Amino acid sequence: MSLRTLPLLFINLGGEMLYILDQRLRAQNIPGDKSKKVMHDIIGTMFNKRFMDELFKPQEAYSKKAMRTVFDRLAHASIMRLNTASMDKLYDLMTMAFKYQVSLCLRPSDLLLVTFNHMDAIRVFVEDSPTIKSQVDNVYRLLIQHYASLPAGEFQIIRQTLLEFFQDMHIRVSIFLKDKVQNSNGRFALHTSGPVPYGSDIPGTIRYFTDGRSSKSSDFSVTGKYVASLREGSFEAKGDRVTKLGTNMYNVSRPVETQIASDALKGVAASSDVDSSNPNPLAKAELNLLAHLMGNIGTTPDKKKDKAFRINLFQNDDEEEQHAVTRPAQYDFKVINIDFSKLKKGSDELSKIMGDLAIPETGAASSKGDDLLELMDSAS
Amino acid sequence: MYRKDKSVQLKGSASCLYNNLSVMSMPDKNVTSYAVVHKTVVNIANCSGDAMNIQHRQVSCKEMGAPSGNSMILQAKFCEFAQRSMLVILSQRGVQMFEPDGSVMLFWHAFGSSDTGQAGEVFGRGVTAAGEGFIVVGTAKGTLLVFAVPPKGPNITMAETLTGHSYAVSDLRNNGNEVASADDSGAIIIWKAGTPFSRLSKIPGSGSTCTAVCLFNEYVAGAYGSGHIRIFDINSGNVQVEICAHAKWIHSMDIAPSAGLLVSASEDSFVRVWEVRKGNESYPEVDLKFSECITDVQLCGAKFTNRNGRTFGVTGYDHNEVACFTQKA
Repeated sequence: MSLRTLPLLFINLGGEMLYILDQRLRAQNIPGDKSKKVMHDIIGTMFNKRFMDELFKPQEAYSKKAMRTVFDRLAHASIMRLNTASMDKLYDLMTMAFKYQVSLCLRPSDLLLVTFNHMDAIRVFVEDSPTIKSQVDNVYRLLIQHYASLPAGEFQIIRQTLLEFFQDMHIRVSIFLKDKVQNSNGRFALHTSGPVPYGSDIPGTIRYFTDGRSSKSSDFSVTGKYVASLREGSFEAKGDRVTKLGTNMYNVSRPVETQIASDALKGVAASSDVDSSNPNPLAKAELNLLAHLMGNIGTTPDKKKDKAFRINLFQNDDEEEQHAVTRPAQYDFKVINIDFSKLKKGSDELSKIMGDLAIPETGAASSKGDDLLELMDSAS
Repeated sequence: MYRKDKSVQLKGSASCLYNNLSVMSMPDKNVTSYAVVHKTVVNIANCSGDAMNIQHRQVSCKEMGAPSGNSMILQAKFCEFAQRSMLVILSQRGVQMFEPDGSVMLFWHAFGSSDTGQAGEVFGRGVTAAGEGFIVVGTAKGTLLVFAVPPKGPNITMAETLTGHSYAVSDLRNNGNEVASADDSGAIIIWKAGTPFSRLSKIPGSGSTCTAVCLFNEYVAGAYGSGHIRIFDINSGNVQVEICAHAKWIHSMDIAPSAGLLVSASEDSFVRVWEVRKGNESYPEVDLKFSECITDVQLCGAKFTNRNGRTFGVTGYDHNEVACFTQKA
């Protein structure tokens, strides 16, 4: 459907991930310098200029599994470690939060405002690093260039494509349940009152026209109290976004849990994914690029061991182990089959794309890249 | 005016698309078929009269010649003619036409570069039967593809391409030989089916997508993303009535022409039925006859089961059933 969903998907999911990691780093009393390094490393990788330029080209969104792989790697782009159970939970929280934001957008173009809310928070995270801050500013420019003047109909197609990505996901999130934003069956609570989208009329009036001029009007009763939206959010690099969707809901520190409802499990198993066994070459090429970037980041293995620390998304280690044991089968996924050796001899198209990306093939870099790509290969 | 009836369970949830419900009733067999798009497949539920016996089928859009997976479907619609009926499926790659039970594929047409939108997006959206033997399909570019369908057999051919829309097509409906097409800018064009098709008039849009369009008598009604329903006079193109019908995007609208009833379903969780009747004035009189909230569901399909509007069905995003309503006696 839409070929413009990938940047919004990636940036917003990434933004949610950063909110959660920031909260866990504080909750686990990780020293300030280490926390900052983790946040800076991840944001720096996320917003790598070359990767962003590729991401913003019109293309199909990655499959669910590819997206999960990308965020797995991203979460480990620094000295922080997450074991599988915590990574599962992190991903559940990220996806349900963004699904909520996409579902509840008043206008389709509010998707961009939600993205800006995430970007505004990310900019604060990297305030004192000029290099990363300029990467972030570059992404603001890309967002405005590609999305700020899109008509509503196009935004709606983007939104429908995103909703398709999140279809049938009903994982219960304790913050949502507590705030009555989500029901116990995992469905979001949709209110039949509140502000109408900016520019829309409050339902209840029927207007009649004679020869194009307003003639009379009548009213009909409507259950639910609707009010007009008085302000429109800003689509510029700095401004009041008006909507609260996309802001950090973890700012108030409280325990964050997820429960996976049993019917949600069945739902995911039953509906077959779009996931193709042969992902398109552009997606493969970008994942390769990201893998190379991951490989080039961070310190040498020795130093890494000293500085590395583990983040736990659960209350304590026992809980984490418990979850690992009862880990639902849906996460034993096969990763995309990226065979680097085949690519070298591969199709003309792929070689051209790889050539265009012009990744410098130093000895060390490519071996690191190979290792990561092997990790990404599915077990046969 | 209506009461809630037994729902029809589906094998999968409905995708968030415009007009995501198509209904075909076969009174002689006492069967009603419901077709709902779920990502890359169409779920068909065949209901016997008392809704006790439901038979399910699934139709997917196999890409011809391409090894990689299935493509996303944007619309599935039963197109009925005097001699035959078909199930038409629009995807990201092209148009496929099947026997109504989805068992046999009769025809396949791939979209080309002339149907591609500005950012390279390719899809079909909006389909209707027209006249005696035409099927018209809308594209991302705004073009309308006209196919000629013989009374029987698979010899379906492409007849012509119509231009006129500058934005992606959102819906297509017909009333006999008259065809209305709507697009993402809210514009509506009225055509007359024939060899070739001729363009009768164009009603300009005001920026909000016209997600559903219905033709009846001398009127054309459009449902919009702004939550409005507007009724225009076909001949003059002047707006006659504007209903502030819903608080959010209207995703679907249908008409029961012999009863003068319109049903609209919106993201705001409400389904509403409106009666449109000729009064003494130049404009028709409109009354809200029924309003129901399907709690916590963003509705995406609404369809009357037959022309007299006695029953209608509604679907919603992430929702696994068709909610059915029947007129109280």
